[in-house]
Amino acid sequence: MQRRNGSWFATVATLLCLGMIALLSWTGGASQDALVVYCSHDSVYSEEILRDFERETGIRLIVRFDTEATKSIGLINLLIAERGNPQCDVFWNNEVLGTMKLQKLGMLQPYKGKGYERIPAGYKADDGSWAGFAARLRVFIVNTENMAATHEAIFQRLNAFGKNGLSRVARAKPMFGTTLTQYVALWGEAGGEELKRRHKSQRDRGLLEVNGNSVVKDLVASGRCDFGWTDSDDFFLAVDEGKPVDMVPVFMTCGHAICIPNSVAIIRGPSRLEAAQKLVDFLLSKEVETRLAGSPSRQIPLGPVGFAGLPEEVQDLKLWSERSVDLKPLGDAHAECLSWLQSEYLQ
Amino acid sequence: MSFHEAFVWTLLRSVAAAALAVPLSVVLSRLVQRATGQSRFWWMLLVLCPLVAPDLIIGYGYRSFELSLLHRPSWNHCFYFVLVVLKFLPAAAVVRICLPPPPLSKSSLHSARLTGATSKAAQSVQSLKWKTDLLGALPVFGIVFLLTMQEFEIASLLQIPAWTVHLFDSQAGGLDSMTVSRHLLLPVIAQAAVLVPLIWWGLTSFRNSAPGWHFAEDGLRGNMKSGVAIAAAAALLTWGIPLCVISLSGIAGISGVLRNEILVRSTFLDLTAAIAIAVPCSVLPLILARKLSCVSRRREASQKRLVRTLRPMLLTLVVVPGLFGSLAVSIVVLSAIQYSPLTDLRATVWPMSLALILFLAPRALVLTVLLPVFRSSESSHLATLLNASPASSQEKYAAQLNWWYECRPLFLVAAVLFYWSLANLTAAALLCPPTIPLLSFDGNIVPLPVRLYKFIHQGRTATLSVMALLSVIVPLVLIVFAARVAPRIYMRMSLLARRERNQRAFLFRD
Repeated sequence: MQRRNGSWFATVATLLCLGMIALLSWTGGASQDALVVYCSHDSVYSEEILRDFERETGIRLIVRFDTEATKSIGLINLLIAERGNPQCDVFWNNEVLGTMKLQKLGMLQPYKGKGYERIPAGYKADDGSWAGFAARLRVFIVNTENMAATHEAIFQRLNAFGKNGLSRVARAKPMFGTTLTQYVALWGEAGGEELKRRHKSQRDRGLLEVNGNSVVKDLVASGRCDFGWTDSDDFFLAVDEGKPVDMVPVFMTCGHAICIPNSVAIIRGPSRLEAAQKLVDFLLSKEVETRLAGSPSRQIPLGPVGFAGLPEEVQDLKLWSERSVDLKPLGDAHAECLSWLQSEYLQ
Repeated sequence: MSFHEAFVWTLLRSVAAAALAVPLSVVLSRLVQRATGQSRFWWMLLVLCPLVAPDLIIGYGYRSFELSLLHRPSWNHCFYFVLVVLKFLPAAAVVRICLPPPPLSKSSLHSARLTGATSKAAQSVQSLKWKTDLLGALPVFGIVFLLTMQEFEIASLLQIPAWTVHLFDSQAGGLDSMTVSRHLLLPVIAQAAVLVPLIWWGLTSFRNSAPGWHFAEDGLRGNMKSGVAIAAAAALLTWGIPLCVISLSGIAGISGVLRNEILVRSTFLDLTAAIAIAVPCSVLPLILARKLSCVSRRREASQKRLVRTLRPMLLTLVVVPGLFGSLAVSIVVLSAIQYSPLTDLRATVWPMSLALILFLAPRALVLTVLLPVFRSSESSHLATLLNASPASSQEKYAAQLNWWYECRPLFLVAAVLFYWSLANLTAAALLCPPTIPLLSFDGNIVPLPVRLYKFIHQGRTATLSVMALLSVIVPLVLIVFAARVAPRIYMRMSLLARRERNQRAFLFRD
């Protein structure tokens, strides 16, 4: 009798559990009309903007974010994997090279709306496949208690010889995110062989390779490292925390800064084209760029906005960004560089 | 570092940790074996608590400390090694406590010593002792080896080379699924090399007797100070210090979190989603384990031929995949849903649930098999007698006894499984759909560990600390709440069932 009761209870519990999983998998039709957005931008800033879009337009969004460690690469691979059966409508990438890869694969739907029109030609695809907005710069973050924040001081340290010459310098693993973009820019400028030589030399001299730009920021801000490569938005987080840091923009040999915009694109065959276009226009709008410039990440507006109205730090960034490396011709370099890095880090 | 180098590092570390666990587990197990009465529960809690410490919280708690060791990688390795040994040592201690009693009694060993080492009998006793010791060390070694091999979260956050971290990052970094599967083969073979003898040992050792807890009747001699020191250090390093660090940093973040309405909402929804998935994913393996352990307990002769044939197959199918760890199971499930008839499942929580159930099934089985520690045959008999009594006042006592000795252990096992399920990152990170349509709420809902892992990499300490604390406290509060409510519900249901039974009996008599 007791065993029968137990068995009855187990059957009911099993059914309830399966029902619960089914319920969690059931969208109830509510998400059928929602726009699916894949977003590799920091969710702390992007989520608020996307929710505002929902409030303003009444269009429901389902957003999938990426992790910091695999920034953007994870979502790009997912998009490619889903190519035959796309789940995503709009892709908000925190850089452009991955988006260009999708463009090359013919996965993007061109759209030249009013948002596209206000973005300078250097930061958007000619065919309207994607457009950039709200950029950040690659910078050296320097601990001012340990060394002077000047190009001279940095290059003097970077040229230090010896096994531990760079043991107090940090950089994120270049497989992902903006460090990858920097590598691709270097590949494009100096060539693959030279980049490989520099990369090896830096590693041989004890350069610390860590998981992400935020770790670089933490290491330098805490004084455990003297300087490192990071993004301007990470640098400003350290500034806001009151850390003794300063920044020096990373310039290429040609004297250009590395300015990395966010990019937005519609994935070919979206379930709701009109809603997707509205979101693209919204993200490329002056309001969103101004808002991101005023956020703790101090992103650089690319389209025309009132220069005087920008925070002081962003004004400096904007001036540097006006002479920046053109990333659009670097599609091939991206593929080659990524392939080399995969063989270095993933085998 | 290449995958193979990371694998060799993990292998060496696992072997060292497992070898160290063999002598240390003796000290720790004595602590529990010696305890009696009510104090046994508290000693068990102290010894076993590191096993349920969430890895993400440990990794996050030591993130700053780890950064200070970046210039001394060997220290960082040592620290991680100590951490994993102390975290998994309780599992080794449990195995030691549950080992079948040695075939040699202390008196026979003493007699052998008295007869002199040269006598043939003494030599055979000595060799039997060696064999017993070796066989006893095998499961202890094996369990710690497997757990250390499979560890992912702490290694990832402390930037320690491990095959799990390499494979997880490679998978996200776009390594093709064939290469990922090929890489997975190596750790699977290494683990199988330990698992096969372990399973063989389990099947032969418990052929005649079910595994159980062996507590010392007369108390064990010897110094317990070292055992207390190890248990306290493990609890401190896995729970105490990380929680202190997170709490201190979280205090500063409370106001910031409360001001951010979106963050509060998303944290609440993520936590709800994680709990909603963890409940079925902890109950289902438990039901499965109960079924399997019931089947194995029945006598072979009384089983039908079909059951006799299906039992080992079922056991293998359900239990073995989970023994290779959450990452291996998740990667296999992920590979499976890339193919055409299953691709639609990617947008649901079924793959993630399946991975969690498979991962937790062997753990549930072990915990279920060890349940009798809480049982008492006298109490069960008394409960049966009280239940049969015509006096209605006795019903309550019968229900109380039943709850205490039959249902409470099950509840505890479910609670542990729930906590493991909730804290699991790999299945959630690899298999979670873009959003979980939780009662059609708007927004990006993912299980909280996934968001925590992302934020830990972004290094948002104050806000993250509050979220991390919530991820620990809320489930604990829920478990405590359920522990208060469940007995009342059980007793009410028992009384209702009895009344119904009495009424039926009365009608039948008429």
